[in-house]
Amino acid sequence: MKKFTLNEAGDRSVFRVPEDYFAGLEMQLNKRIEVLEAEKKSETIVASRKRGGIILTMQSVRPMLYMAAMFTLLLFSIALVFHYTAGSGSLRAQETSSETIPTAEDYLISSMGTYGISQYYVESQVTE
Amino acid sequence: MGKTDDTLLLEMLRDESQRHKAFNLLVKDYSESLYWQIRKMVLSHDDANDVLQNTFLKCWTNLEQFRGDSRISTWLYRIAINETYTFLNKARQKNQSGITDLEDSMVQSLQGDAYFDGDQAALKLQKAVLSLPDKQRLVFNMKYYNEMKYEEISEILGTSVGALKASYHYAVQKVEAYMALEI
Repeated sequence: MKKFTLNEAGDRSVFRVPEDYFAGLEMQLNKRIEVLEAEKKSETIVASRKRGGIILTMQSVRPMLYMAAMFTLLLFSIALVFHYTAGSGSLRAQETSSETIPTAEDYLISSMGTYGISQYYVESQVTE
Repeated sequence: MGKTDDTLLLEMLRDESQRHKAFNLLVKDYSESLYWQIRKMVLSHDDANDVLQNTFLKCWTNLEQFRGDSRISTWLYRIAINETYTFLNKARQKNQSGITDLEDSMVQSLQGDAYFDGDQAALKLQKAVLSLPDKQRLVFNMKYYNEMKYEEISEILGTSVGALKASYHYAVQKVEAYMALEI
């Protein structure tokens, strides 16, 4: 096998470039940069408009409305729960107080039968 | 006419009113050297043109971020190398469904390329160089074709001089072995 060394490779400049390629490169790049900058500007305008809230659509407002509705419902539920637990507590207190102190009449009526109760009420009406 | 001084270029880059002028100076000073660096990797002029333009556009969009931590040439070379790798990786992915691998199709395209003046031996050399891994091929091109110093290559690639010397040495051995093979 014949040995090869890189020195035998010959001319290293086997690649060519189209004529005036480098001369025209700057112009080509500047054109592309103009397009790039114009695109960047239009993106900035759209983004700043959205940030400023000038464009308000139902789509953008809907989530906030939902949140407000949920919050209101939550507050209402809490208020309702507190109202009923507080109210029923005072009622119970009243009932308890009336239940815990029976009167003499209660004792009398509890010892009578049905006939006795009806006679008791009829006699009291006749007397009046 | 020599290259524009780095300090002057940096000052112009920092000044918004002079940034475009500074960019044009960069294109004037570095387009040719970057082009050949890219061309040796992608082989085709059209592809090299695309990669070079992408390199400069990336340079333009990142001009404000450049702080002068490295030389401007180093910074540009790094962008060019990254763009070249990106191009080659995309080409490889596109070529996956093909019968031949990317390197073979690149050499085949080179045969009919109007901007390639080499003979069969030159074509074979390109095939030999293409058989190297991308990074080793890059080191080989920078040393063999561009005749850059190891210190310069080290600054661009972030690889030690010792590692570069070893890489180049093995690259040369592989290329010579490939060329010595009788088909």
